[in-house]
Amino acid sequence: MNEVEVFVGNHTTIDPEIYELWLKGYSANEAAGILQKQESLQPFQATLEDLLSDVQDHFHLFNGLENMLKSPPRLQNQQVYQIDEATQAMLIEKYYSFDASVIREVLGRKLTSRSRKDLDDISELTCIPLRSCRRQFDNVKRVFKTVEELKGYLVDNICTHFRMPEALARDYAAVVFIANNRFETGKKKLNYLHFRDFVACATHMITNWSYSSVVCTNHEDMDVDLDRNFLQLLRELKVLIEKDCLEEHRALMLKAAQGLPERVYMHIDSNFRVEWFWPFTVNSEHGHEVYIILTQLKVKGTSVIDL
Amino acid sequence: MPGRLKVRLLGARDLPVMDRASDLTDAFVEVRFDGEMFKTEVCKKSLNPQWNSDWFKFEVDDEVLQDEPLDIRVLDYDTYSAHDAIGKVYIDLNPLLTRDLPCTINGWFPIYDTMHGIRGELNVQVKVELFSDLNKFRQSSCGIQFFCTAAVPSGYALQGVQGFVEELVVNDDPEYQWIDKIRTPRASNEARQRLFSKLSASNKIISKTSAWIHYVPAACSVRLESKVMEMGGNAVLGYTQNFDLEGESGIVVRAIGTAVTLAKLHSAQHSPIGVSPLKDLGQEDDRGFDFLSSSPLPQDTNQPGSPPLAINRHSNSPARVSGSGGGNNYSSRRLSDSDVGSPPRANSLTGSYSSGINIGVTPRAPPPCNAINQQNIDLLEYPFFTMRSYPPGFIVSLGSMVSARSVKLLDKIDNPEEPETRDMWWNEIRTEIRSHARSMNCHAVLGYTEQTAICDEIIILSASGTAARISFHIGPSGQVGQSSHLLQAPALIVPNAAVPSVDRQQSSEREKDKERRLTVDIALANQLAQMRLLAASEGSEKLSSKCSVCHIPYHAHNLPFPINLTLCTICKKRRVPDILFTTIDPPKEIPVVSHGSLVQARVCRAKSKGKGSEATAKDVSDSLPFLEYELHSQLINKLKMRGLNSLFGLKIQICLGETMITALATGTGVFLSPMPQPPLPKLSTQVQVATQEENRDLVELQARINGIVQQHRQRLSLEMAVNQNIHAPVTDESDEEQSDLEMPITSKDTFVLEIDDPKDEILSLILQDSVPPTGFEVCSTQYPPGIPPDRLTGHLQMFTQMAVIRYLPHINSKLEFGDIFEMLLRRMYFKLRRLAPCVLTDLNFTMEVPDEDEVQVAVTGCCLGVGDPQPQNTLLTLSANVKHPVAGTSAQAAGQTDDMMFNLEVDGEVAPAAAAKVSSSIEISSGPHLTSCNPIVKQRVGVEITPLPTVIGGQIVKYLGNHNFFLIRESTSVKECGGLGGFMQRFIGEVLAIVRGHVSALGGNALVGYQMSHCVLFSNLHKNQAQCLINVCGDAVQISYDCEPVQVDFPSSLNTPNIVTQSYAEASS
Repeated sequence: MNEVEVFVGNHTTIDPEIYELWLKGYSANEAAGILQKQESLQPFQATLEDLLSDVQDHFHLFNGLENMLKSPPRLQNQQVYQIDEATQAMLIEKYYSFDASVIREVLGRKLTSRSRKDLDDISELTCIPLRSCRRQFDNVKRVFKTVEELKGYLVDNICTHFRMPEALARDYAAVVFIANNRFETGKKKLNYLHFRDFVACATHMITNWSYSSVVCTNHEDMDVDLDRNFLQLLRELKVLIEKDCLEEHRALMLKAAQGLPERVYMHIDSNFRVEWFWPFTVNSEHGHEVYIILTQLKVKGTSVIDL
Repeated sequence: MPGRLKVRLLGARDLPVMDRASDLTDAFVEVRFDGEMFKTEVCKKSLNPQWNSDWFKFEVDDEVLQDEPLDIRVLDYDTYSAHDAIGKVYIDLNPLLTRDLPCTINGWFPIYDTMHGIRGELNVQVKVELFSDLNKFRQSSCGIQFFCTAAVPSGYALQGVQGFVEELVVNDDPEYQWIDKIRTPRASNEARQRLFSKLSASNKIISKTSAWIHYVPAACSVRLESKVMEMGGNAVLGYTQNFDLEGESGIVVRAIGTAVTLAKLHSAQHSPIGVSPLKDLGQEDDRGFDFLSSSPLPQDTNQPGSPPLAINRHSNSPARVSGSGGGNNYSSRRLSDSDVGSPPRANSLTGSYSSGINIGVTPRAPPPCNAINQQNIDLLEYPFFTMRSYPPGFIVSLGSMVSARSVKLLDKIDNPEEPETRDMWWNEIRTEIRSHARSMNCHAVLGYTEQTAICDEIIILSASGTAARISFHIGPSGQVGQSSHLLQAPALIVPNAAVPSVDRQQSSEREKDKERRLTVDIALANQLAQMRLLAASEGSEKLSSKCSVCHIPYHAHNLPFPINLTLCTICKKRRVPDILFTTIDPPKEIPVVSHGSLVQARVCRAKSKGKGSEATAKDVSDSLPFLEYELHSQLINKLKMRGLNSLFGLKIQICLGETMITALATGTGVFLSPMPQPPLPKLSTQVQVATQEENRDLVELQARINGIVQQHRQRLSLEMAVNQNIHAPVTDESDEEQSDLEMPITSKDTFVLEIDDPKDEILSLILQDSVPPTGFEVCSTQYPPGIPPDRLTGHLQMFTQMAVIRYLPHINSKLEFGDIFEMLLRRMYFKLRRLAPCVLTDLNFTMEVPDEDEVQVAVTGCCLGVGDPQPQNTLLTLSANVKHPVAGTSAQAAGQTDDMMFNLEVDGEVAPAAAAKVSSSIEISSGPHLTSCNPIVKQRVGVEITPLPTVIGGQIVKYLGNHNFFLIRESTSVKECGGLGGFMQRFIGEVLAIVRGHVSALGGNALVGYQMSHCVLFSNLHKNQAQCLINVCGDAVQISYDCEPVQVDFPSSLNTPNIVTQSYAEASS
């Protein structure tokens, strides 16, 4: 292997496959090994070493790009790499894409450098290379830090500051929301819930309960936070989690579900408790704890047992 | 003349974090020029500061403007300690000094720091106001344009050639100054960079000795630009600068170029009716004349007794005026003078070929223009031309490559600060080159380059070029004779604007009016056919390809060097060499029948170490001839293996290292139809074959060689078959000629490969010589020979490849020296595999041996997309026939191109105007289809950079000035930025970014004639350090892509034009 081997074009071209492998956290050697199986080198009389050098060159490029990808608007301004719009968008989208399983684990943790060190557990658990886990963790942390203090709509803020597609921005908004409000998603009884479930919940909370919700009257704070007035109102709901209420609700629900097939009905009946008792512990910044009953979750929960 | 420089700082973006505590920066800017300095306010705590400063005004002389770059520094404010430097921007003001260009620069410039690279961008506005010259006696050299482009810039016509200009400036190298021992690497790098930028600017300036370079004595102070002025030129073409880092004895900046007089073709060119300015207008105009002149008389009838002069050329453009005779022998030149007054048309129309004086001459005596004419070419001190491609007709006949080398000792310079010694060295070499050319009976040297190789105290100076006979009546009709006329009376031109370069003489005959109209028709057709314009013009140029360029300029009985001569296969009259080496691009008129193929010879010889400099110098100079011999034989063998007979764009680089001397020769092999095909290689051993085994080995080897040769020849004959179709209609050879061309494969002669040992290294070299994979064509010339330009679909990528290879010459390692280059090429193909089918053109290898066991190779090149040949060729042949409707060849053409799917006879019958319409209708019908069925239209993002003189698929609207960058990058944290690879990749990227930033700030969108002349990496990985120097240059231009549909090499779209033309053919018949 030569000490230096670089190939620089006036237009920076990105090989999406190699980019994918880099994002997944493979080393250049591993990536070359994977690519070798996919592509025939024969037509170019190329050796594995040539492929490796190509991959390494790309990896250098990605390492150089990574700094800019950390603040995507820079990617647009910078002149070092001449990349067309579509490729830029691809680069950003893929860089900020994540594995649901990793983020699910990250959700409950504090976004500190200490938890970054514990990422190898997540890596082990999810079978995703540590480097990729770190990138995902850092992305979440970066997005969180950037938009945490910003006014305005969360999704829009993420879109403008990270130039990512809206769908992806929504996911990040949910993650930021959950992290900001320190929802304890790591609780044992929530283990069965997938990342998507949390996203759905958080999205609903953002649209309905946060400062940016339609019903919220004073937009004094950002939509990262829950509307305080609303939270105070929620106190009154506390009764709902008392046993009587729950029982009542359960009866009503089962009644409503009467028309359903027997099997499904039975399932709801037996599982209802579990699903019902799913309060989020909200540690709002003022320290008061509010148990919130997520009616949305009910819908979510039933969908699990394919209705 | 005095001028006012105004600078305004608007803002910056993406600055680095300078204050760790706040993660922010308090930035301000200092602007320095000519000893004055202005500062902006400090913009606190922002990475994207906005200053919106006032206009800072500097009132200076234009010489200072030419001499000094604008120095802008971005700093981080610090209350207590010294301000921290963020980075710098140097802006060369020369592009602002040319009158007809916009006098403003406005854009985002990358802020560059030699230790950290690019750190954000700075938004600057610069304006220059020049006051008109009050003092008439003071010479101002504002307005001399420099072009790195090694060809006539598009949109310009060459009116006169003043000749070779050179300049040499010496300075102390700041890196070796005593202060360097104590100052920071950054300061040293910056001092060096500033010096380079100064030195390179100083090469362009007039007599004033800058305060900075106070070493430069008065003798050297008459700089290049004033030289050009003296000669009466207004531009320098093929301008190259070289930096010699001599170490202790200083830095030498050498600049060479060709002083010429250029005339801007009238702006009607850009109007929709006019012919668009393509890469070579002269050539385009020629086409118009081709049409005219070939109409009465098919031009390629064998001219009985035609002199070696490029007669065909004259018949081609009869209305051209030569200020002097063609390039024949001295007697005919005299005759040309006596012809003054005779109607220019008459000569060519009657086709007085036998006389050899069918040179159109202006009725008027040539004005006392400074352009050299034939007589005084012999008076020129050095008749050297640094361009690589020339207007059609410029070259009369090609001699051969000439080169000269000399080994000198730097520590023997008595006065290292003075340039005299070096001037003397170069003069010796130039004189030698000139005498080589003379011995070949050639009076000019084309494609001239100079190089050095330095190791410690030894310097090898080398120069090379191509001896040739040239004809000075270059350019479109009458322009040499008329240059002053044209310049002084632009009003005259306007009425004829659509016929930009038709002879505009008042005294022209009646028939000229007719011609003019015809040409207008063509122009109209072209305007509609703009998509194919380049193609058509070059295509038709091809059609008129002549064999005379290949004819030997010397006498057959007085050979300058041993060479075999044969009769030209085309005219059967004159002699041609069996092999031709040149340093230039193939002239447009030369009959190339094969595709270009990269041929490379690589030699490495061990050099003993530790001797005194004098003894080493002697060793080196003793081994040089062997080195060259080896290079030469490798080139010839490889060329012959491929069945090719000439080499273009040959560049030889010799490198001197501590322990080795390496040499690299890169050229493009082609097959020229006038020259014979090389015979089949056959092995022979001088040693008696001793054993049975050896004998068997030999037989085996022969079989392998035969296999390879067969493979090459099959490829070749395929290419030739295609190209023959293009050449056929006009070269007008009967079938026997063609069969002749196919014959040589069975030729009886053999070319003997002499080996002493079946395991000889020469053999292994030849056998290993790889062929590019399918979909790739590789060449070192600017345009791929043998591929019709309309098959080039677009400019896909300009690339720089750099590798550092550990290599020890004396150890018999597994790695052969040649393998390094094979590997580089292989990786290049592999890297670009997604762009295939493509042509890699203008491959330029530069080699450095900075360390004992280290070889560095930097390659730059340009990847062009190629379309499918079939439909494109059909179109070409069709349009070619349309363009020559009266040529009387249609019947023959139809006969010869009967594999085409439509009947070409139609074209012969229709009137020219109709024909023009026909062609336009083709283009119209195929144009939109082509675009519409290209689902992927390549986005034109940002700034295109190309080593070629123009961007394929676009047209140069404006030249914005020449740029020269010398950048140093150093790092003390190599590991952190991804090792040396990461460091280099980043740096090359940054260099390109800086180039692009400057181009776009000038309002340009491309840089043409890009060259990377220097790229050296020094590293010390134990200390985690690396330093790299890169020198690049090019011409900033503004390109318009509007007129041309962007074609992308997308296979499925390529069927469409085929269908379209077919339907057209049906409709018209």
